[in-house]
Amino acid sequence: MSTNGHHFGANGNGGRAANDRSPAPKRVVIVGGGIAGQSLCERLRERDSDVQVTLVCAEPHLPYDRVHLSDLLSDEEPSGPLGELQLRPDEWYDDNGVEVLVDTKVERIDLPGHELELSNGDTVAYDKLALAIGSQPLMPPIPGIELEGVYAYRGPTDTAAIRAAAAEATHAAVIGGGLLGLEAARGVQAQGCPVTVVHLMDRLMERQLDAGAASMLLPAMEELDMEVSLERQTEEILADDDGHVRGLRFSDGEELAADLVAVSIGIRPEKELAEHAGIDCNRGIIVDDRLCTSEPDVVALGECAEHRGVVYGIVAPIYEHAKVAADTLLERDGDEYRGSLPWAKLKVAEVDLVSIGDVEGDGGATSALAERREYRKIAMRDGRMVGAILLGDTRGTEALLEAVRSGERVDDPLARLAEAAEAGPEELPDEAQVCDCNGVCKGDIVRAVTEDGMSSKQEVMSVTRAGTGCGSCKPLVADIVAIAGGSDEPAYLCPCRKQTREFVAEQIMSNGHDAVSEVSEACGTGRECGLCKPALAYLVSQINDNRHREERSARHINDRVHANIQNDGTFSVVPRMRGGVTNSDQLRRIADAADKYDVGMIKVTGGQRIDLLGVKKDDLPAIWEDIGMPSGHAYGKAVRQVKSCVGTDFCRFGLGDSIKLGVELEGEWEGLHTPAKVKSGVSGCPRNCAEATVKDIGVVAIEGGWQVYVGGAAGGSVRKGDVIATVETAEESKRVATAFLQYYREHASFKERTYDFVPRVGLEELQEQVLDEDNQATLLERFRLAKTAAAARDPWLERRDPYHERQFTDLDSIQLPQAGGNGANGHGDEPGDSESVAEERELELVGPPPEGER
Amino acid sequence: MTETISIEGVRVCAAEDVPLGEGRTVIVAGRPLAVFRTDDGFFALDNTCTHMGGPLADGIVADETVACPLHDRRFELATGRAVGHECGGVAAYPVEGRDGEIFVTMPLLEGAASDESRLATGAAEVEPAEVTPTDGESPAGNTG
Ligand SMILES: Cc1cc2nc3c(=O)[nH]c(=O)nc-3n(C[C@H](O)[C@H](O)[C@H](O)COP(=O)(O)OP(=O)(O)OC[C@H]3O[C@@H](n4cnc5c(N)ncnc54)[C@H](O)[C@@H]3O)c2cc1C
Ligand code: HEM
Ligand code: SF4
Ligand code: SF4
Ligand code: FES
Repeated sequence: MSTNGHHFGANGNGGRAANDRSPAPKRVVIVGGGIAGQSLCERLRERDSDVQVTLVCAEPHLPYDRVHLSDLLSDEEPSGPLGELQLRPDEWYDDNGVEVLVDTKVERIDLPGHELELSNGDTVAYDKLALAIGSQPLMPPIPGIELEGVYAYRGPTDTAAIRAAAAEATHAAVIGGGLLGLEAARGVQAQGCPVTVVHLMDRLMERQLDAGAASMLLPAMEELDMEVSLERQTEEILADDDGHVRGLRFSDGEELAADLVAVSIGIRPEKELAEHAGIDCNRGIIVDDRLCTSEPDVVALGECAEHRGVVYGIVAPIYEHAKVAADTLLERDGDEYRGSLPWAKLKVAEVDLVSIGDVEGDGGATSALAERREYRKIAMRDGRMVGAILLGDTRGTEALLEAVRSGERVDDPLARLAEAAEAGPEELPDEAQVCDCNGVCKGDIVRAVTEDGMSSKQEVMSVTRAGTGCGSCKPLVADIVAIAGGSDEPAYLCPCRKQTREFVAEQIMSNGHDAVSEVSEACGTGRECGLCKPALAYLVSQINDNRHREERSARHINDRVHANIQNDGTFSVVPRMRGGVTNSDQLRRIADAADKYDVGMIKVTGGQRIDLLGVKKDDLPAIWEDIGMPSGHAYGKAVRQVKSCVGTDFCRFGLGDSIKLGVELEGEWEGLHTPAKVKSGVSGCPRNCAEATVKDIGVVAIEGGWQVYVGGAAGGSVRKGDVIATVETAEESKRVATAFLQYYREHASFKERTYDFVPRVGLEELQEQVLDEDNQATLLERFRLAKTAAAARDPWLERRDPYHERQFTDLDSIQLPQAGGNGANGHGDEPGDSESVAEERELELVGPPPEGER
Repeated sequence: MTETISIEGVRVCAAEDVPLGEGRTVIVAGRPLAVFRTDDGFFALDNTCTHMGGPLADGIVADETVACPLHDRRFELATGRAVGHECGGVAAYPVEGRDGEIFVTMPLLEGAASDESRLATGAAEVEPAEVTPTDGESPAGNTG
């Protein structure tokens, strides 16, 4: 065995005898700590917790995410040399029993001796060896390439050097107009340095784009103030008197002034280590379908490996390599590696571009919109999809990736392209790969939800590992989890403790809980993340017919201060305006208040009311007082407005008095909390100007009666409501609508809008519950109970009777003695200190409000 | 990292100023803090959510965490550590109660540096030098 002392675990030298019987390798050494080396460690550990794993990294860092190196160029101020790019925290290696040697290079492989020579003079023995040694940037052999100010773009050191140089330089040149060159150019620009991209070919990204797409990419890059110079062969890099770069000279004799040059023209797989040991190499280290090299105990993977004549320069194949290589090293049966579909995404924030597979093909279809810089193409070969380009509009990326991977047969490529654009997560086939980093398909995610009972994105991510690599697929994972959760699996009220609404409701009823804290104490609901507390608060109030003990700490801030928090921390104020009917006196008061409190914007809402936006929290009580109108509950899960059209009062088509009915319904319902917001409308005739058919509850006057619609929506979802009943009188329509409202209040899950609730329960069941005379009567009775308690009080009256002295106010600001002016100031720990601080605060109280308060 | 001054025991409020289970903002030397009160006592964090700058004091408080009112990112009350998201943690400050008055100890650092990721290690309490003053604007929140 070896002579060095870095072995992980205590049994480094013992057990040779046992080894003879057991075919399992005892020690795997991985050379190269890039994404490939790291992935292999993880795949090995997933399969075998005993095998010794040693990772030898030449770079002075733990494995990091090279793909996002450009973050170090564009981020405001990276923290440390790796910023946020380190793939796993330091502890991971100890926790997973992986021995890592950083800043240590393998100098030589002794194949017969199964031993490695390290740059520090030590040797390491292996049973199995993995080469994950990546590649080197390709540097053109031209005069001046070694000058100061000329950099490759491969690792953190290059990146830091480019960043520092860009901050000083007057003009930069990037040699290479491929994926990485454009990314590097953008990074240089982020440091405020003008840049020219110099490219040998007649178009950008010729390996990923056809001529049409490239011709649209060019103006898009130029619009970002990037100069692009095509068909330029750099012959020499010119030096100034100090040996620093001053420009480029091209084959046509022209020159470009540049005091910073970044080179990104391709990669050269690292293979010398293997070659010297006698392992077969071509462009890279040659591997078979088990990723085995010509030497049985040695595998190669990642950018250094050449498989079926292909060397990949992208990250996605690496994850597939790692799985196969792990099986091969552990001598297990597993899938063979058959090659990967090359695809790439341009990581330039302003330009959406995805290229998949063979983008030329022998035919296909293109839809291009020059003025919008959109170019979408499917490439075909022998009737099957072989590639795609999506520029400007990358909708359908996952669907097309899957289609190309499976070689989908397509008759009408143009139609297929249009279909892909519409393909939401619902339409993706189960086999579609969602997370390329970890090779997780849609089906895996769906199963985690439906079969393993995971309910949150977080849980699904930790179990399937989807989204835990680069994270670029997280939104899609969330969508799929949501869709899968839409099945009839239990939706938990409290996902942390896995408690359903039914369970909690049962606890509340049987134990007579009347406050959230009691339920939390008894069942643990809401104690872990707290996010379900509002749901719990609703349930407690609903079951107690609003005769519960209100605990504001369980409510969202909106319901603590009865206003809607905005993205900047201010609030919006929407007064009640029943049926959308107001008068000049109200309008005058609203206008005056808007002036007095310097309201950021006055907006007429989609619900026929007026919204005052940008009100400070501590101004809320005063503005309500001035307006003198009740709360419109625009901030809560509550009955919002009943929108109405002018109906028989004014409209020449009117069949029913929609204003009267709208105003009455809103008056009867207002103040009630509901599982999710309830928006309603009343239209005076089927022309439906109040859009009642797409409201949670809508009433439409028809010849000789009224139709009541439920479960409509025209928001994130669009759904036409179902007619639950057609009745003769306005009074009857009110009863039906109100009974439905109460049934919904009692049975829907928190945040479940009627457009989900109605299809879930089914129209027939709802009609049974709501139209049956007895059922209706009891629903209406419970509704009245709840309403009497709720309506006792307009929440905005809390301005005169707050639940806490500081319901609407934060703590008083504290001004300190000038920080840092002279070191001693404020440093000591004598008790006197805090007193002097307190004095400052007194002063502050009489002064103007401090800067920086929102 | 230049000079630091450490402010020990600034009185921020009386205990009853913060309702049980809620938080309130206090601006100390221009820096917005969130002071929380739970059954286990008082806690102080930077008020500004690392996601998009939401006011943590207005969040929902559970036994050990607070969830931002804007998009539900969670932070540990005691350490400021990010819980279940990658936006990074916030600084946490030691809090002490004496005779019904609440005192916060706040180390300040002169000169700006990006503190997000380092604070994410939850080191705020032990490494006071890593706290930076803000100008009252929300941070860029540029982590994916
Ligand atoms: C700036 C940039 C942006 C990129 N963007 C994308 C992108 O958007 N999408 C995409 O798919 N791909 C992208 N790539 C490519 C992707 O980063 C690589 O495919 C991937 O990182 C290769 O991983 P690897 O582990 O095979 O090799 P490497 O990351 O090169 O790792 C090999 C490691 O082995 C070490 N090593 C070499 N020899 C020895 C030795 N003798 N002893 C010990 N250690 C040794 C090296 O120091 C290195 O750390 C990008 C690359 C760069 C540089
Ligand atoms: C190694 C596996 C990874 C792959 C294949 C990968 C791939 C990608 C891709 C293709 C994008 C662009 C997404 C888009 O524009 O919609 C992206 C964005 C991003 N990724 Fe990764 N990534 C990886 C690892 C990581 C890691 C480890 C981090 C964090 C430490 C990270 C952080 C980000 C961020 C912040 C963005 C958004 C960048 C922006 O908005 O400009 N990625 N990633
Ligand atoms: S819905 Fe009918 S009644 Fe109402 S305004 Fe429109 S046309 Fe007139
Ligand atoms: S549509 Fe979206 S952005 Fe507009 S108000 Fe509604 S939620 Fe906000
Ligand atoms: S701002 Fe805090 S979660 Fe978005």
